[in-house]
Amino acid sequence: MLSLASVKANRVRLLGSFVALLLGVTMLTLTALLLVSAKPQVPQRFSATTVAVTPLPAQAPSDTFPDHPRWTIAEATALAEKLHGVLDTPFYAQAVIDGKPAKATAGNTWATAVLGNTRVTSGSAPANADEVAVPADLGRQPGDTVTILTAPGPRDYRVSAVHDGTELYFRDVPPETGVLAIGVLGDVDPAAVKAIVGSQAQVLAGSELSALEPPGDARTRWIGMQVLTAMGALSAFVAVFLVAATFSFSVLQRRREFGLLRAVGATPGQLRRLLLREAVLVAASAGAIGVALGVVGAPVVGSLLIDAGVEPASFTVRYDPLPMAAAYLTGIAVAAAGVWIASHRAARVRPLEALRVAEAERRPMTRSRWIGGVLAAAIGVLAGVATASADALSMPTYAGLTAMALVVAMSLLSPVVVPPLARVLMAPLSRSAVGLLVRQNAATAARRTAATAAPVLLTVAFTMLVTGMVATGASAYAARRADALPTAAVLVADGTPGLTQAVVDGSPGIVLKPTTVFLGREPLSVMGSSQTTGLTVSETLAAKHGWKWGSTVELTVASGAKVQWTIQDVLPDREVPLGVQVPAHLVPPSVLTQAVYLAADGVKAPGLGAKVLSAPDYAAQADAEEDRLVWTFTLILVGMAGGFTLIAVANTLLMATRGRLNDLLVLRKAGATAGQIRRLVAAETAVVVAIGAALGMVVATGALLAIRAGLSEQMGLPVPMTVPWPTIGVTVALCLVTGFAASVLPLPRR
Amino acid sequence: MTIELRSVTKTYGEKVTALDGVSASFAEGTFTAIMGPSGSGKSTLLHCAAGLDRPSAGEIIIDGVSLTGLSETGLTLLRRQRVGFVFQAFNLVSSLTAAQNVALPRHLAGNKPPAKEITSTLAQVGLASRESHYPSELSGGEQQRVALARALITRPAVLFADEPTGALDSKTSRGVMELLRDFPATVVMVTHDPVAASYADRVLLLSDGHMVDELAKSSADAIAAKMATMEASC
Repeated sequence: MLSLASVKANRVRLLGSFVALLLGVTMLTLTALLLVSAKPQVPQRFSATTVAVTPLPAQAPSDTFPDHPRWTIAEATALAEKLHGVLDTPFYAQAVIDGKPAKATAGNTWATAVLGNTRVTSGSAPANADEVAVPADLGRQPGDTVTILTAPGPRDYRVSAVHDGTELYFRDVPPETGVLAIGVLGDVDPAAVKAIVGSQAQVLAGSELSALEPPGDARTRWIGMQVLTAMGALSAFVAVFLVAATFSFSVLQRRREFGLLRAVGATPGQLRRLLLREAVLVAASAGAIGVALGVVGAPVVGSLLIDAGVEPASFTVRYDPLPMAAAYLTGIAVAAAGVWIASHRAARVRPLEALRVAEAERRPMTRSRWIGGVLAAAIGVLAGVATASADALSMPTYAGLTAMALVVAMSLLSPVVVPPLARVLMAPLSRSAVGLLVRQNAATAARRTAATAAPVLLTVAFTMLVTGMVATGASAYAARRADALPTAAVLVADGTPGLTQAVVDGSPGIVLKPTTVFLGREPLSVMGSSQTTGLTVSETLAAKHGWKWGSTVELTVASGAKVQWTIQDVLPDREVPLGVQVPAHLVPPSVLTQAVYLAADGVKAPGLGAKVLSAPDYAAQADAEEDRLVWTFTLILVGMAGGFTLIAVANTLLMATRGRLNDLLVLRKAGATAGQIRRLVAAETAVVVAIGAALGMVVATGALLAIRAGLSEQMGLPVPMTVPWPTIGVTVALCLVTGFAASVLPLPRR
Repeated sequence: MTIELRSVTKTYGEKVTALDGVSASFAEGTFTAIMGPSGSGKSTLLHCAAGLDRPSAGEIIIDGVSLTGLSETGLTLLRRQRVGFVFQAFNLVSSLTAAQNVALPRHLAGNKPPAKEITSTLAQVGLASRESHYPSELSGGEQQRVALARALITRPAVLFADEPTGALDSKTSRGVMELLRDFPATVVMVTHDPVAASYADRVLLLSDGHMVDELAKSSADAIAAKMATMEASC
């Protein structure tokens, strides 16, 4: 009851903590919802399927996404008849509308339409090889003619039907198309199916059908998972940091109140419990709004992720109550933990402090602050050492940990460095009265200054770390990608996933046709190349499998056909980039060509869905795509964390100014003009932002040095540390503007 | 004896000695004023005697309990049960109404007073109709009366008052002093106001951390004269 009264009464003071919690829970809910939504989903074309039987899946590391193995139609037909199933034979098919390839690229036989419960809305199913059933959004009617690209090339079809699905359906499949799965409909028991197929096939049912997701989508989802995990870790850290910092700051501001309560008989324990109950009450209400905001925000951020290409188009937010509850409870737990630590300090307030009118902190550093700060710094240094020797995959994790630990250490220890830093910063201004006041205020109220600088520290440190990490990494990888192309011009896909055979036939040059073959269940990446005359393997791969010149290897290719290839050459790894190279004509015709390195005089008009790029443009485009993904990733992280921390900057400065209105009033009485007060507050804000930015840069520099050391180690060449200063300048400027708005604007006008 | 101070010394750091071996005792039901020039140590004496601050040496006994060796919580519990306070700055919780402020110490002690008791206590200090007012809606004198009611409701053995009229005009002061004089407990008051001190049964004079003189009940003029000679001598 007392806590409720206290919450009501301290409504204004607790607003700061409320906002911090609201932000934290919003971030947590948002990322948690997106994380659980990022699980693979059953492809739409299997939505009505009970059981799918597929070849045994590829055995590959979880962060590689090889094509699914397939059966030949001949192989699968017998099994399908036994199971009364439908052969699923997805292949490349893309309609051309007004001379441009349309968005959807999936083709199948009409027989598979039932697996996804796709129905004809007008017309009738394709009955001959020249007919196609198209989705309604293509804007074509039965009887129309439409040009469709398949692996062999473009061809005109007659639209026989319009349906409510998303794929293009034909009567037949292009030559050498393999079977991905056999779909079984109706009331079938997966165990019974398993008994029929034995151990030579995989049986999928229910949510297991998500394994049939296209590898491209799975890869996008995996990248999205990395983004979301990083977002989750960052938002959890930011939430915990902000909430703990804000609560301990609010305790700092309420010393007089606590002294008074102590004087009228509150025991230290009672004070702690009061604060705890208060925090839980605030967290309970702020958390509820935070969850609601997270729920509203999740689909917005989700569609941003799809647009950014880090989630497949099939990504939808699932409103699972579990992550919402988890975010809500985490908010309460974090608030309770944050205030519990701060309350020990509050409970140590002597009753006498209520009698002191002027506020001067006597001991900015407590023993627990020292211990915590030094401990966090030690963890930061250890994580930094780990970063310097980590591999490419775990480096961002360690770098993030380094930065987090250093941020905590820096904000705990900052009361020690704030006074000298403030003196240095204000040295040029110390002759004016305002300058003197600013310096003295920052130096005597080291804790308050440190607390208000903390969100700035966090913002600057993470912006600099993330952008610096990406920039340093990019320059490192660019150094490695320096080798030139053996050609002047390259033919590449334009609006399509690859080049059709018709395009390739019309453009003499070196054909690159990457594909996947299976050695048993092990997927091998293969480059089909018109420059190779026979099967060529890398020394590493040959050593791994005991292959020599002349060995015959049995492999399964993309069409599901078993082939016997004889090794003609074993070459050093760098000459066989993918590990295996075969003549392009050995790659099944259902596989699209990636690029053609055009012969010097071979540049003709490219065919449908292709374009010619100069070699430098081609290299730049390959880089650009990778860079775009990385920068999108960076932007999401920096934007999200930065946006939230900026609000926190405003929040703490607002709290600080409000808490000091009395001091400022005294100054007014002592003869300061309203303009002088505004200048004073503005200057103080500038000092706080400058201190936070300086400390943040120190933290980020530490983490970036570790990253640089790690990258140099990995690549065996010195990597320059690249820091995108304009980005950091903008971040600091944003902090300043936000800070001014939060501290100067609420001042009384007169 | 309700309170006994035995050679109480309080030093701050190594240089400042605020109290230098002060001994004093305060009998049950008496009203004592402690006077002295600024910096004489009178506030420190009060804080130590009330268990708000710990002396560097010596012993303090309140209602038979020695404060030496009590933990922070033990001290708080003792203060809660036996000690009341009135400060110069009225020190009300600004977010609570007059009635809630009065109830606060008992509420903290886990025996919330019934509404009737709060009403009657406020009536005792002449604030019968002010229960639901917030401190900001009360005058200085009224706020000090709320503080007195807050002390009254715990039925303390001893009441400490630190310049209780320091922020009040003389007319309002009189009302507050009358309440203090009639307060049903041993009252120890620090003041530099001879008029306030004239309400006390006796006046202790403090200078440079030493107890220098003691006056029985005196008029304000007599006290003022004594103070003047004392300040002239140092």
